[in-house]
Parts: sequence; C-alpha cells; structure tokens
Amino acid sequence: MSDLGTIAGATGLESAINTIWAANAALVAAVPADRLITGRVPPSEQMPYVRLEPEGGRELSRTNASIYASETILFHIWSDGFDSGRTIAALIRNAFASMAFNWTSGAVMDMQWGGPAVSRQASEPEIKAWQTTVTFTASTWQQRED
Amino acid sequence: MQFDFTADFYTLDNLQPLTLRVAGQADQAIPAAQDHPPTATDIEKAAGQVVQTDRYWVWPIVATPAQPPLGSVLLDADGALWTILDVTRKQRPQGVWTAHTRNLAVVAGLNNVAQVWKATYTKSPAGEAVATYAAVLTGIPARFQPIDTTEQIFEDAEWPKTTYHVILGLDIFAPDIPVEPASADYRLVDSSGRHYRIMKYTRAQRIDALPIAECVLIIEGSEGQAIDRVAAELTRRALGK
Repeated sequence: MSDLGTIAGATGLESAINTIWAANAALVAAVPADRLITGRVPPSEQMPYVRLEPEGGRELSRTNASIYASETILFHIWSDGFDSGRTIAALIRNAFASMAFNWTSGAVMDMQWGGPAVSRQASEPEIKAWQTTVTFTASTWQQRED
Repeated sequence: MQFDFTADFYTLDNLQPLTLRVAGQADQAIPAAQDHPPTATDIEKAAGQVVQTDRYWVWPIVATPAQPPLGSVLLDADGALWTILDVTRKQRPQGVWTAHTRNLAVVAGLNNVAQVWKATYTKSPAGEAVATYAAVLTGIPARFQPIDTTEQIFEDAEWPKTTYHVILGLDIFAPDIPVEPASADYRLVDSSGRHYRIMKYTRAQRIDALPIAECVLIIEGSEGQAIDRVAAELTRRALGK
C-alpha cells in the first residue's frame, strides 16, 4: 500500500479523487481532469470521459470522534472503443489501487481494487460507446459531524 | 357519326415537343403536346426545399399509340422530367392521351447534398469490430428536415436525441444500388460532415413521392465530433476570423 499523504484542498473522498486525477499526468493525458465528472454528465459529444459514482457504503464502527466505513466507488469509463476503455481502466487501477490518502476531515486508509474492469457496449442504435467500470472498495474514516 | 379532332389538335397555340421515356425502350418523340399550367407545392413542409410540381399533358394518340406505362417519364423541352401518375385515353372525339404527371425535386443548394458512407471493419487487439466509414455514394440531392429533439438521460449522461427526415432525390433502396439503408453499416452524411444513422427508410420506389430516410443524428464519439467542428466553424465565422 502506498500513502499519497494529504491531498491539498480536498474536502472529501470525491474531492480527493478529482484532485489526485488532476495531478496524475498519465490519467490527464488519457482523460482530461475536466472530463472526470461526479454524478450526471452534462451533454457531451467527446469521448472518453469518466463518471465517478460514489455508490455509498456501510458503516463499520464509530468512536466519539470518527466514523469508519467501507465505501464502494465506481469509475465508469465511456470510450469509443473497447481497448481504449481498458487502457484507461488500467491507468485508474495504477493510480488508485492500494492507495491511502487523507484530507482535512477524513481519509482513505486503503483503496481496494475490485478486480478486472467490466465492459459492455451501449445498446442504443445511435450510440456505440463502451462503458468500462472499475470498482474500488475504500476503507475510510471521517470526523463525526453530529 | 364519330368525329376525330386529332388534326385540329395541331392548330392549338403553345404546343411543345415532348419525349416519352419508357424503361427498356427507345425514346419516343411526341412532336406536339399541350400542357396545363404546373402547380408547385411544398408537400413535405420542408421549408420550401422539396418541391412537388404537378402538370397535365395532352398529346395525340397517334404520336404514341400504346398506352404509356404508369411511372414512365415525359421529358419536356426544358429538360425537366415528368413522371406519369395516371393517364386517360380520350379516343373520341379528341383522340388524345391526357396524363397527370409529377416532377419531384430537392432544391439545389450547397446544404442540400448527402453522401452515403459504408463501414469496413478491422479487429482491435481485444477483438472489437472497429468501423471505418468511407463514402460509397456522393452528391445525392437531399433535404435534412429537422423533426424533433428530445432530452434523454442514458446511464447518467445527458444526450439530446435529434431526429431528421431526410428527403432524398435518389432512391438508395433500389435494386441497382447495393445499399441496405437501415443497416448499421451505413451512414448518411450531410454537407457539414455530420453523421446520421438511418432508423427507418420509407417510400422507396414510389412514382408519386421521394423516399424518406428517418434518421438520428449521431453526436457521440469520433463520429459525433463533427458537431464540434461545425460549432467551431460557426463561432469562427461569427467572430470574423
């Protein structure tokens, strides 16, 4: 496991992932940071782009100051071709698998890679893009806010 | 007593020669024919870009004794083609054929041109069939008539789905044209380079109407990037650069 340390300016898990992406030259070369989107993607004609889906998780335990959780993070890569999607999936794995990092009010203690990416092609007649999904399970802690 | 006015027909004013063109036969000259004023309409309601002109022609039976087949064509002195939709034999007293004919045309213009592209496939290292499109038919008169654009959310991405009716001046679903219009192998491409997937092709091989390709504009991926190029060009023009 590698520790990326404190991610400057990050305010949460998704924020930290976006910041790490923007600082990773290999990822940015494949998918510019402004094309990594958390949630719904605005109208887009260009490929590739990546949709970050924080699927949520389950609380493992809590202390008087912190909540420990296991959270599922999905990277949905949309690309013109199968191979380019798989290439980007490998870059994401290299950038995040087994990484630890923290921000001001929490941290990922381990980004556990969920195994080889899953790819499928859109079934709309006028859309032939590939969706390649990389899954991580993040072990996190966050400061309690209650 | 029966009268035949055929001889009198040739005394009428404003007669003009025609040529009767029947598929598989030599052209037949009609030395003199009378026409009624043509009526032009935009039957497709396509911004006046698809013009249907109807015209009635009358000529002596002696010029073309056999009944002209429906769908055969009259070529007038100006070079316009008139497809025969129905024909009436008025044996006596007039001794003439009366034909209702139609000329269908897409108005000539730089924007009213389509190409048909066909895919060839190569396999990617992972085995994906990767399509590369190249033109197989060019210079087809066509009106790209916008029909509607609807918002759709697909896998948490937003896409406008824009449909067009493309009225074609050339029937590409014809026996002598090796194109399967609604196959994924084919695209219609407009004068700006935008790609369209044909979802449905109707009115093929009709003598009374032009064929329509019902299309969806492709906006995603490498094929959809023509949209960006068009937008960039429009911006460049607007800025006068």
